[in-house]
Amino acid sequence: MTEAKRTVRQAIRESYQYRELLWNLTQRELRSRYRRSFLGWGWSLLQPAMMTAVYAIVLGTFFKVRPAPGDPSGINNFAIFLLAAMLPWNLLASGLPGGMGTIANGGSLISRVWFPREIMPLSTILAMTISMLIEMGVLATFILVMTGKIMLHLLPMLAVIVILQIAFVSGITYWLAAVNVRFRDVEYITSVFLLAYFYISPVVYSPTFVPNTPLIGSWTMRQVFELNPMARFIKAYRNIFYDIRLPGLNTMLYLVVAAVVSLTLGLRFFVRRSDRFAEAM
Amino acid sequence: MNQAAVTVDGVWKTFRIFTDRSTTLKQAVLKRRGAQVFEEFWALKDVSFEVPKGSTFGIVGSNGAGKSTMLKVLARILVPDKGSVQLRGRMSALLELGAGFHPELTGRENVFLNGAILGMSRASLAQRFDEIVGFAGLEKFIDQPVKTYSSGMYARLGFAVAVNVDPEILLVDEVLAVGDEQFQRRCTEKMAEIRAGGRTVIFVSHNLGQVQQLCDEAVWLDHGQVQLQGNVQRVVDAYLASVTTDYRVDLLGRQRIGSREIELEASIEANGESAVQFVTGQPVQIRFAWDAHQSIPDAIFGFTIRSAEGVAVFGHSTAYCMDRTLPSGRGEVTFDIPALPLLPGSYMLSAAILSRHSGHIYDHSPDMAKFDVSPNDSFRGETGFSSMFGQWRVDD
Repeated sequence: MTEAKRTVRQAIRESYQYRELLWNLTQRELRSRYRRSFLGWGWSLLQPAMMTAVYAIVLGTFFKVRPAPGDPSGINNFAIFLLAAMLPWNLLASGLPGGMGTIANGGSLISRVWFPREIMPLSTILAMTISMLIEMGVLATFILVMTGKIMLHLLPMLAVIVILQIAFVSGITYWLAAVNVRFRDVEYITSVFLLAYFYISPVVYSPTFVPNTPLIGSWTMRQVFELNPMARFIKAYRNIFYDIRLPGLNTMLYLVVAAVVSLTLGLRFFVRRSDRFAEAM
Repeated sequence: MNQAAVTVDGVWKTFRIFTDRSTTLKQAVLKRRGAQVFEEFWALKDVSFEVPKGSTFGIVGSNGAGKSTMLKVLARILVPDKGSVQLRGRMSALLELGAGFHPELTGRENVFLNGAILGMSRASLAQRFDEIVGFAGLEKFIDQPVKTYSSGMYARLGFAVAVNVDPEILLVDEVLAVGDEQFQRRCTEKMAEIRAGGRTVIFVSHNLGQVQQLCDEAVWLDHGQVQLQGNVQRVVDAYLASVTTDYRVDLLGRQRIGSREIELEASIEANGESAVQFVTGQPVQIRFAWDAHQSIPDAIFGFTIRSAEGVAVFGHSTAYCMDRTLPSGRGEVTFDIPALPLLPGSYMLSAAILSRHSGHIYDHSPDMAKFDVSPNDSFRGETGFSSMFGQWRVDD
């Protein structure tokens, strides 16, 4: 049955009915990514490892950046400090442009067959999430080998943070995917934006490096800095992988709000426009 | 009790034709507000009809009448601006075969992917997998990436998945014209099987012969509006009566165009007998038998031979060799070919009788006679459509 306007509730119900397709598209994404490359899935691990090595040499050795040791873990390893933030950052940095283009570049999938469009951006983000989880598994092993710290007890909390991050990234991706159908500029703007966003998020440094001087009214520069949801996500991931402890309640509440707001607004915008995606092709 | 499989109720659909569509943000921002940038085009205007459960239903109409738009609305790809569509049962749409195939993935992976796109569960796909692959005839290639497939193989696999989704309502948009003859026959058989199984099929085609042959009921759309709905014969007849008084499908299923003051029958003969199978180099005759209901002062006969791909290989007419009035009654005109130059393949003879002065068509059939040319050892190694009857000579 078709009605004139799809609601978010309907979109969620239909997406759930098509969950097998969601999984199939996720697999398609994963399978086709490293097809016909010699290292295959090795690339997924090599890329963050290479970037970490570069940052460790440039920032750690040349610039002498020394983040405080993990509290209470006492871990004092710049590579672990970097990777804890780099892996979730990559979920945003690759999931957002990838998921955003799925509709605009969907071609005959959009113009010739019907299924709930919502699952297309989501499938890309899920594929990225799966490779992130594999990388995190390798990171956890690395931490165990280097420091002897076991972090199994943090796994349930990690799962919660990952789910919140999926919701947060999906929300932005939905919004941009719908805009991208109409304005192709968004792709370029996004890549510029992501580059800037990388440096104002504490991926390669610690938030404690941001000066605590007054900025706007009674807000200090660091307080403004920490309004950034990605800064909070990175903080939570660093709590898990670097400090080896649960994130604070404040951090978690902030993440829940960021995830819910992002997903609600993004999905509503996307669903409302999804009716005319096929016409714009 | 409602037995309709599909109810279309007052559907309106508009398209925006952008005269100056901005696709970049800059243009959108800089554009003066209130400037007219698009015109509205109503593709469907208050369309209502019902498709009875278990019937095969045709949508006919001329180009731009809204047939394909209607089908896309039924397939949920387009959303109507007003009105509603109710589908009672699982729907599968054959709008494009293999939509969503990923070139890097194997045939096997794509079957599962495509099946899921069409809403089929993994379990039932696994169950039907062998049947799907067998139907497509791709057992040997199923673990190759589909980018290595020919377009025919691609379409076959797409069709095999789509019809095996086991839909209760199947939407078909002129996609049956894919693959070789053998596969087309299998498609037709499969369609017959689906219809016999009590499924509802909705069919859009320009081939009115096919519509008449396959459908029980039809709706005729004209400029986005329903003109008539009901028995297929009545609808097709009314449609034809409106677009042209001249079009019909003859008893042998061939398309006929023309006013029929004089009627034409053409055949190809060898050794004085009509045949459908010839060999290269053989003497053949194309015989045009006419039956004039009145005397025709300026008639010319013409024909074109087309390859299976529709390429015109040769054509000729009596325009430069015959100038006389044909009396009413019967007669024959023959085109003698001393040695058939066509190389092996399938060909179609299109034949017409028309007015020399006005070009008015008395009788024309674009698919008058189909024939095959089979190999002849004397022409071994020659390629293309036609032999040149040439010989190699080596000068030392």
